[in-house]
Amino acid sequence: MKIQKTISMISRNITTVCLLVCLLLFPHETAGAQDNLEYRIKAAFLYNFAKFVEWPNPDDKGSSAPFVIGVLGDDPFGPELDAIEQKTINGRRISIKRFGTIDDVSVCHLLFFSFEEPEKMKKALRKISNQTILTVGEAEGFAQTGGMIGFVEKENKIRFEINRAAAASAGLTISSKLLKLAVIVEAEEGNALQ
Amino acid sequence: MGTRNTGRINHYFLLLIWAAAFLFPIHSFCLTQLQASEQKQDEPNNFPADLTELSIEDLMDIEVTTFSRKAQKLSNTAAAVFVITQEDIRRSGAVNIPELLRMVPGLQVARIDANKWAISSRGFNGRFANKLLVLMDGRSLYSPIFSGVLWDAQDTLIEDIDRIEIIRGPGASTWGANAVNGVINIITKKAANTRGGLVSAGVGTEEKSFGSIRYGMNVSEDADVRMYAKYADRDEAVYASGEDASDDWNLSQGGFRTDWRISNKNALTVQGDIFNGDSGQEITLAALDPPYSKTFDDQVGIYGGNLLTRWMHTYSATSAMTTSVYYDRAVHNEFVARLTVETMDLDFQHQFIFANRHEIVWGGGYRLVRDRLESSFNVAFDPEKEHTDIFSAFIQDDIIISPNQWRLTLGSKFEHNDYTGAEIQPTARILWTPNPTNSIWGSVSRAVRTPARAERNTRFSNAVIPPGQPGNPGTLPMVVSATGNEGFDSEELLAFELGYRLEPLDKLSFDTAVFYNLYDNLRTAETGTAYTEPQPIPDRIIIPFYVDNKMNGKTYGFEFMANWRPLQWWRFQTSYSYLKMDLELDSGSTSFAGLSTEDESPCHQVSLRSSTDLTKNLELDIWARFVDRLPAQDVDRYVTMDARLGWHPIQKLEISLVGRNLLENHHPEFKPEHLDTASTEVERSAYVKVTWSF
Repeated sequence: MKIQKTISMISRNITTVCLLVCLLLFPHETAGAQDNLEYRIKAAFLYNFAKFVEWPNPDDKGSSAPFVIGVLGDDPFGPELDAIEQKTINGRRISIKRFGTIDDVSVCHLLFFSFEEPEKMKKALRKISNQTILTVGEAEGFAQTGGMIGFVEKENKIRFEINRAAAASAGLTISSKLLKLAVIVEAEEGNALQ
Repeated sequence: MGTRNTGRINHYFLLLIWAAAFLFPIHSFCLTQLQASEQKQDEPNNFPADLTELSIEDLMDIEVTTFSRKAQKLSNTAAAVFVITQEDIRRSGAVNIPELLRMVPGLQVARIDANKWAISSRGFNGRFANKLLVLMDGRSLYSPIFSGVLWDAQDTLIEDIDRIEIIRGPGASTWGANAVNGVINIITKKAANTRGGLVSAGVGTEEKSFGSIRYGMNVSEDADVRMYAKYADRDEAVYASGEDASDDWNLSQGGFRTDWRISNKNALTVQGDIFNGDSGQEITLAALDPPYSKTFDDQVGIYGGNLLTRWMHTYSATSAMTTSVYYDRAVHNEFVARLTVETMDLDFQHQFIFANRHEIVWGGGYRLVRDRLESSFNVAFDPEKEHTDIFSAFIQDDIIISPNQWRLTLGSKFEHNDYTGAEIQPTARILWTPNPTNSIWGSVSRAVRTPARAERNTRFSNAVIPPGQPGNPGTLPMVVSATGNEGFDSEELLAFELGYRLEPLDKLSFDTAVFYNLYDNLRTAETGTAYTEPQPIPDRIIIPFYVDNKMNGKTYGFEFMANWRPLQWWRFQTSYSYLKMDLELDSGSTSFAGLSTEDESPCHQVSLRSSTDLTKNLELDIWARFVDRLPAQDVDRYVTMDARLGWHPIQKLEISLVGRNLLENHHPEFKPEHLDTASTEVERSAYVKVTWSF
């Protein structure tokens, strides 16, 4: 019984100590916050994609309507993306919107897909295939699934793949500068959206 | 008295610490905001705070060591993981959770009767298999009274399950006690992913009639809600003779889930279920009067409900906090006992990336279990009411030693329960990915299975030897009673695991896990001294067997699985599991029970699943299984097969015809444990189901 009590005492103390250690870890969390390099870079890429892709609607140009960057599904960017709202693209204000599902997507110029499931992806891509939206994703084989620009990771650096046919069929023109830097891919058999 | 008071004070002190733990994230969040501007100025790396000012070429040149998304990928973990996807669920033809689990390598799944299952991981199977922890959306389904899961009371709308994640081997360092041989996480879809209506109905030979309805909608731009109700009525199974048994089962259940994105940084989920059902059984009970045993049909009433709230807060994309609270109440009412169990659980966890190489998750929890166990002569609890609390904390650091190559995970759970005091359950795991095709992992972990209430203060009288019989020459009936022991300690495991994953082609993958488990303090039933008990009348002699920890042993084995998609329309999944158990009683043990556990889990198991899309709207699925014999139970090895034909005349309509256990009229799979309920056999069956979504 005495041993039991001792163990119980020790355990309570261990639990307490552990909790205190955990609490001490917290201040470092603020340091951790700036480590979200991956999505800071990806957010900057999105901004660049918007700059180097031409949307066909000429009356849109110079209009005061904002350029909408959408995030579909769980948002991996957090505040990193909101930071580019202060920027402009060809004189247009940028507006960041977050959509829970593909049915929520309204006015949008560039849409980032956060989810990974290929079936869900295909369905979502098909649903917006008649709209002029630049689709960007980070799932494996996003561009091969019918998306336009897919982030890939190579030797700890972020690269991107472009599916030209997908962009062209939506009426988007990708600048040669972007194409030069990208890995050009084609849609896998059966994945062409039209 | 003094120590008791100190205990109280300690208790409050702990609560205070917890309160602090909850407030701290909020406090530190404010700090983040304040320090944000400062930090921007002293970037550790030599690129500007505003990355949009860089050219694409420069962006492509920045090195990133922590890819947060990738880390969450299950295939990339240093553990034996299997995931049942919604597609697997839909194409399996299974109508409930236990039947789905048959596809998982390393799990032993067997039906005892139409409403009872024995499910375990890596051995020690039984109706009250106590080394497998099961959770649904973070809510524990593991009974603290008996240890183990009463599967007839665990259900949800099967179409709304997003996935089921199964980890074989210890998961105790994060999940806590009782995640000894495995953890099952049943995860339901977010409300936003179940918008619209779903109606399904079916009829069949064993699945007599079942139906469900769900409706999900968008209540505002950022909030979704869904509601569901379901009903299932299952036919009784048969005895070995082919005669109908009395184990029919019905269950009605309803529930809801809301997901609300309050802001970019805050999300709230509220969900709940209620259920009510009846599970039939034929039970044989020992009695004090001639003929000293009685056999009769018993209807077990099962009902209960739960409510869960989860708050997720994002500090930044690499730092997030989740706090959840749930209340669960379950009643199991059968002739021998009426059990009411209430659970209140509070859980907190915070994860963040530190110094670019550490992914740290830490958290803590408090659980209060309050029970009322109404006894009978056969199953007597003393005391009948009790409440216990468990405090826990855990920390895990996932360290990237060299990016994309070596990853080391260190972690431990610290837990305090009222029965055995402190339990420390650490783990060390290492993952090596020399290239994208190969990965190798290994681990060493400690886990414990804490005592259940029934092992401490229950007297369980399962046989009466009538006076004048051989073995009882006297005039009083002799009662054989398994008796709880307040000194019963936790069962312990030290586990060693190795795994290898190979993905030679895009469409072909292999996954192998090998384990070597060392157990100590395993449960036995030790012979005690007989005594006479005069009250209540009539007098009887009690022959007690006391629960104790006098067995040790080792188990080893491996699981292999392959996933192959030779053609776009054909997928093939196969698995093989090998298990060997070698248990030994400690010297001085007089236990008659325990050792037979060795022969209650199959040595070999094979599962082969083939899924084909015959035409654009016609699917054919074949699932064959082999399960080795269970010598201790006199259950023979069996081969069986399920088949499903699914037809989509239009996109939103599915009509499926499913045949299950097609190769035999009926076969036994497992025998009852502890309670002498009649064992029945699994019959060949068929059902047709229509699912319409709109």
